[in-house]
Amino acid sequence: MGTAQVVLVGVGALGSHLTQFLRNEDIELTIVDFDAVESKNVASQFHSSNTVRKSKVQGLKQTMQFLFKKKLNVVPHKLTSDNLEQVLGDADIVIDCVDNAETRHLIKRYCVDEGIDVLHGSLDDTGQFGRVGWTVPSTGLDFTVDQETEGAATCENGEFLPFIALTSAYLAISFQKWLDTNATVGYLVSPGGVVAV
Amino acid sequence: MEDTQNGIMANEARVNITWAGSNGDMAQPVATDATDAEIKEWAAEAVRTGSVPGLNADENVDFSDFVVDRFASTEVRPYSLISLRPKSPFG
Repeated sequence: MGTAQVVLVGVGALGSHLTQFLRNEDIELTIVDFDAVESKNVASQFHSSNTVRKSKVQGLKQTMQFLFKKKLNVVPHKLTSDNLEQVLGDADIVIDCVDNAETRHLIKRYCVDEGIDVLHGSLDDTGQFGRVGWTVPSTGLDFTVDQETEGAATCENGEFLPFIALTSAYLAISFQKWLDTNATVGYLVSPGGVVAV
Repeated sequence: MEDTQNGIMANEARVNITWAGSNGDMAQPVATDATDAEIKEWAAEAVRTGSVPGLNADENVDFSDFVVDRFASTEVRPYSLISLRPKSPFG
């Protein structure tokens, strides 16, 4: 494989921090998100106050270029069944950092059908648990998708920032292992300890 | 049944519990064919009695909304692992 084509879907809490943790990798990184940066996001996500009201992917592209001279490809659209092939079709790996079960299932189904490995990152709503896992079509490894809880709020005041960044760091470590050795190591992350699975 | 390197039989699994921001392994392995309900019941009893290293005893432990994941053995972890964890739908 030459330079890996990496598509990261969702650049909110986990995905925005992961983007900057991947800045030293020799990869072609495309980030996908339809959402705009809100003021409250700045407290817990890797989005800066000067990008508020901008598209998250455009703002992150600007930040990564300014801080690190790192170039990103951006897709400022919602991932749907109509654009899956166009957005994910050329990926060597897809990284899922979305915040809803519907899109996770969409990504999983497409990637299993196309034989693309998926690295998943997910959080609970209390800042006490994060999960790094894999869907690997060639081995049957399968990530369990949890249904979001009605009315549960994600971090809005920055209280969970260190834990979000910690989970993102384990996502980056797992990605590095895949890139270097094709290993698919997952992690169960909590403030009190981390277990490799 | 052949014993593994970690004293866990091939038809057994280590149970890892995440609770209240910490995680730990149950002292005894369980049968790999134990049901999710059985695992939650045994884990709740273990946490209530404070017998899980790494977890504080908690009389109010409640795993009813938790998820049981099952992982096959790997080269680096030569035994099956069962994880009892909170739901994590966000990203």
